[in-house]
Amino acid sequence: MFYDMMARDRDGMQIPFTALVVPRPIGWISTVDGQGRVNLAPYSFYNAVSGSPPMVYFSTTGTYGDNPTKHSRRNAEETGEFVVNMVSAKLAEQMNVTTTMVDYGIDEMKLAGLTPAPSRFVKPPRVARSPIALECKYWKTVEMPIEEGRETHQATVVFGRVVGIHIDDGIVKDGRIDTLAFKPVARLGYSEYTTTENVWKMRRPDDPA
Amino acid sequence: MFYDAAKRDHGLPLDPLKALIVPRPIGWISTMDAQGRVNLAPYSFYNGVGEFPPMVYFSTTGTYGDTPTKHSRMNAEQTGEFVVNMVSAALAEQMNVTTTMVAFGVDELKLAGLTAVPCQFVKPPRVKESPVALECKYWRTIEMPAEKGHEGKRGSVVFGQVVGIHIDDGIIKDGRIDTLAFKPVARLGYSEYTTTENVWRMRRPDDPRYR
Repeated sequence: MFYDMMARDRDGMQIPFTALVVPRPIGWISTVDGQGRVNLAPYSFYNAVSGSPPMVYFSTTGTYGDNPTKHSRRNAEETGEFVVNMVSAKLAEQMNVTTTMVDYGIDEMKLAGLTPAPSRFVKPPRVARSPIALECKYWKTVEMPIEEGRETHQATVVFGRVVGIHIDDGIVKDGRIDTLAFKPVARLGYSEYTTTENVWKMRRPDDPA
Repeated sequence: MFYDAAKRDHGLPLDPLKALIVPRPIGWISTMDAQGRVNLAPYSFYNGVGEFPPMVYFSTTGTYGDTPTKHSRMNAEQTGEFVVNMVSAALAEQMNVTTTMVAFGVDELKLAGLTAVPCQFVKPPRVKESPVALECKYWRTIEMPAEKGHEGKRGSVVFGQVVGIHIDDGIIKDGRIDTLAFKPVARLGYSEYTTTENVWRMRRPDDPRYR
């Protein structure tokens, strides 16, 4: 079947766009506000955008409750810092707790029963139990185009530069990151998730190694 | 362990960075150059960035053999169009063939033995064998900062708006996309890949309407 995205309302399109860009990695973003209050929320419009320097983005969509922007974006912009925590299979339930819509200033890390651990180069704490944490300095925000009739859903891309990296020694095996040692959770469409449970290698045909 | 990303003092034999942002979805991008020659290449610095309107990005790094930027980016910028094809488990080998470094103008879609079929709103063809294809109009490119000593590896983020969507009817079950019907391939670190082979549901604690 084919969908004209400009006419999807007219055509009664039932397929969510998010089910078609899968699996999406989850950036579990911890920030602090101007008063030092912690925020923790997962974003699946998240990925790397550059390796040198290491840069990541996360994208927020529209407003959040009474706030003109989502808390993570607001804090990242106001304080210039955020941390991306890895959601391992063991942390899936706690991650889900942090999707709860709460007032600005409420600490979802505490709400989910997670322990904060200090970061080295930035103020927001990382999630102690996360096997990977990327300390980031906010770089810039790019506003996406607006769709007529859906102005409040305008997306915003927040870019950050990774400055410090925490890795749990338990997921390093023979000098390499062992993905199956933590089984990252990823996002599909609807309310669906997946976990990475198989790994295989495939070399580029022109790779001499 | 902790390491300084600028110093890269991780002490590991290989840079672990790409293994830390996983699993990354793969955007298998088909484009056309100004002469109408097809290009097809996979990017794992790819994802959605917005839903209303649906927007995606893919990011390219530095130069590519014979051209100042990677072919997909160059074509997207010059023609204003690109198509994102889904790499299902059945297409993993063919996707890998399209990573081969070839001269500008060489058609990797043909090289991999795939079938090109026309799109509705854009000129680049889509991969017929792909269960999902997103027809995109190029929006803009944002240059990432350069790193001293690594200027040639600077990233460029190419944004596009999804204008048309092809979905193989065979992956729709009870009106929903059945991810396990095509098992998307995703990228890990090193030369590692994974396939989506399990799906579970988890509702937001506060949203009974969320499906």
